[in-house]
Amino acid sequence: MNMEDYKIRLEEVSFFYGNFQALNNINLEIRPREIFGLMGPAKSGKSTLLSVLNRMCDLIPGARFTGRIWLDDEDILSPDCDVVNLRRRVGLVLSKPVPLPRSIRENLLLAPRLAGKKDHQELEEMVEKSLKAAQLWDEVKDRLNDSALRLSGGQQQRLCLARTLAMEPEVVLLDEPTSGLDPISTAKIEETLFQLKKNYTIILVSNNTKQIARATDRVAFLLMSQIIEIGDTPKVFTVPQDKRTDDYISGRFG
Amino acid sequence: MDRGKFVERVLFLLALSSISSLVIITIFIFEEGLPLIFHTGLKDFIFSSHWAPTKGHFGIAAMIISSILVTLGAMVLGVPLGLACAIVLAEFCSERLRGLLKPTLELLAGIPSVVYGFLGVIWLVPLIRNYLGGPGLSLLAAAVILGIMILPTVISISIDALTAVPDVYRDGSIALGATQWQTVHRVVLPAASSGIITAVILGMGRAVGETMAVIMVAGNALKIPTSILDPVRTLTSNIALELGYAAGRHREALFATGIVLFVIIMILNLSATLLARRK
Amino acid sequence: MSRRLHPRVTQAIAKTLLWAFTGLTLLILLFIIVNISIKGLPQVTSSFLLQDPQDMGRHGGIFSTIVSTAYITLLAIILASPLGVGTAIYLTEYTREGWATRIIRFGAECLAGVPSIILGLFGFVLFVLKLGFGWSILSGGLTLAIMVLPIIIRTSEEAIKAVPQEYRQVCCSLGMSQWQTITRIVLPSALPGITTGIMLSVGRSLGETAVLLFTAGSALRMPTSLFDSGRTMAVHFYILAREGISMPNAYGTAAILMVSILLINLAAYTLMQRMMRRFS
Repeated sequence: MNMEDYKIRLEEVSFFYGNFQALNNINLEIRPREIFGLMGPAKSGKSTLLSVLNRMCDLIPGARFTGRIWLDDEDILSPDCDVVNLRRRVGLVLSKPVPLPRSIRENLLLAPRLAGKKDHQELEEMVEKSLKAAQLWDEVKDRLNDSALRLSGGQQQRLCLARTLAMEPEVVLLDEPTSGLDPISTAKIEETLFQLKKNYTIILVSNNTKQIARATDRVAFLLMSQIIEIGDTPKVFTVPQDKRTDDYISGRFG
Repeated sequence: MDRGKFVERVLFLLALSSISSLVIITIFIFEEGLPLIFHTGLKDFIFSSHWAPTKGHFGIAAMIISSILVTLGAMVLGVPLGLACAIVLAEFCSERLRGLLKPTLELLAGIPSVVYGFLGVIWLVPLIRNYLGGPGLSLLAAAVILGIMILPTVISISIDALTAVPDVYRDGSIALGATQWQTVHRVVLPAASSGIITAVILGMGRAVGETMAVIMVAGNALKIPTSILDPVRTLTSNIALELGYAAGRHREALFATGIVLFVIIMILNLSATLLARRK
Repeated sequence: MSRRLHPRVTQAIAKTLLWAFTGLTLLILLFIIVNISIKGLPQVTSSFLLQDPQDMGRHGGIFSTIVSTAYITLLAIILASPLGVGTAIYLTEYTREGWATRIIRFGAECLAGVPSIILGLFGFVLFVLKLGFGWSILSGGLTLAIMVLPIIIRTSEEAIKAVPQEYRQVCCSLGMSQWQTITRIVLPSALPGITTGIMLSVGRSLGETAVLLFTAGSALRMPTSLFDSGRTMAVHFYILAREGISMPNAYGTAAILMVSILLINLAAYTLMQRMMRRFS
């Protein structure tokens, strides 16, 4: 593999909440247009890693980080990084679906409007495109002006995904996107991710190992703030190199 | 400077408005009142009950005593009533009934003090005059009206204190075979005691500071009361009654009265704040 | 062994007493409202509302006092709202709990406890005398603004805090700046609660007497500028009642005052409840 062939590259990234070290010397490369999985037990640092990737961690009081993260050729941990622009390039979908208290359309248009898009036609196309990409279009196309709070849980989560896609990000981060959903909605989201892979780099955090096995190309296993193993998903799941990985995926802990 | 920082600075300045108002109020009241206290001497000002502004006598002992007595009287009436309402609402009430009673009782807070004073003059004062004797306008009348006026303060803060007691306390006590009342009075009330004391202190602050209702029903006589049927003049009424025409030393004396009132109120508020923080 | 009542009997006695006290409190409230309404509301006719007072209020209506009340209240609200809402935004969105928030909250709490007569003294010496505004709408409005500031701060803070924390995360992840998040999502969501605070402040201003007696004065003329003295409804009622000028007019004024305050407070309460229910 060519050394330059990455979308995101983490070099010796450590992260602290006050005195607690949530990430310990993480080195990781994520390739363009792959679905990269992060798995590990609760509090292993998966969600923290996501929040560093688009600097949402800045919201947490007492947070500190060291190391470098390259997004293409820009260091996003450097003080010069334009975090607002970064967050537009690296979209995040939270584990709990949080529609804003506006209409479905307004939820989708918030970010593009702030990015300066004004053309009515273009914005309408954006709504349709992102809803279609999130496989929600058929269910809501006749009620775009309804409050987003009235959608079902699964629909709300796909709306949140569509809202992130409407920013036209390059990378999409998903933090346990199906944790509160029923199996049918979960299948829909996974199908959606598979479609999105053509255009986006996707990082999926899940503590559901079956989902990681089904949906990702490559995977990293985190345990107690450290990366234990990285590899192609089928390989990690069939012949794990580390005993702890083996224990985790066979359900002995976590 | 970037926009976020600028907004933050502006908001910080706005946020200083309350504390700076408080500081400015303090400065002006003290600046106007302190010269008189230095002139008369703190001891004479507070411990003499000779108030004759035209002759240069400024002693507010009678008013301090009256304020204290009126406030204590208000507590005697207002605390049991208010606490009873709070216990009923927080412990013995269905969710629906509480949803109805709480806003209703909060209406008491909206009734202007002049209306309380007015009804006191029309209904309470004649009752006292006819059945208990004296002029009717009296310490008792003021205490009763103030007792009613502090109810919203006592009720709402006590309810907060009671509902803050975790349900596991109640369940634990009931599981041990206690009745609901035993639970309330042995477990819940002790657990909520600091909040209830805060409620009482803030109620006192409200009573000490009330002006208009007291002027209307207290009779405003300048002497130390010997009976609850005597007319009295409190610190607040003294200021309000004379500020309209006072000048020179006399006006300073009214601001000095304000200082004493202000200090009393601040001590009450501070102890309430400290108590609430300790919890 | 001393004679002891069965716990159930004690409970029955205690509950009866507590309910009796609560009933008494409700009766007092009912008495006040019914008494003022029965004696006052029949006085309230369109001519009572729309005529200026004549002969010190013995005859005529209360129109000029309604206008003075409106001016002073409006001025107080215009001045206090940005300060109060700004404070609430700063406390909830821009700063962590620390010495700064503690001082600001302490200031607001203490200010809420300052009795109106002290505020009246202060407004009198600063605005009326030192700044030379005289007894005027301006002096009254400025002093009332300080009085209602803590109310607006407290309710706005409560309202902004009720807006789910996740909204801020989502907005951040959508590349919105903090200020954009506040103006586009947080404040619109908290608007009912902020409105509640403003309505409660209006209610408080309508009923206030002690502050205004010494800052806005008691001139019965129709005010034509910010520097004119103006007698509000509450002050008018106080003077009518205390000097025994006209009992019917006093009752009429009291009824309007009380009914409008109660309605405003009730509406404010409902608005806040509805907003809280929406977010819980």
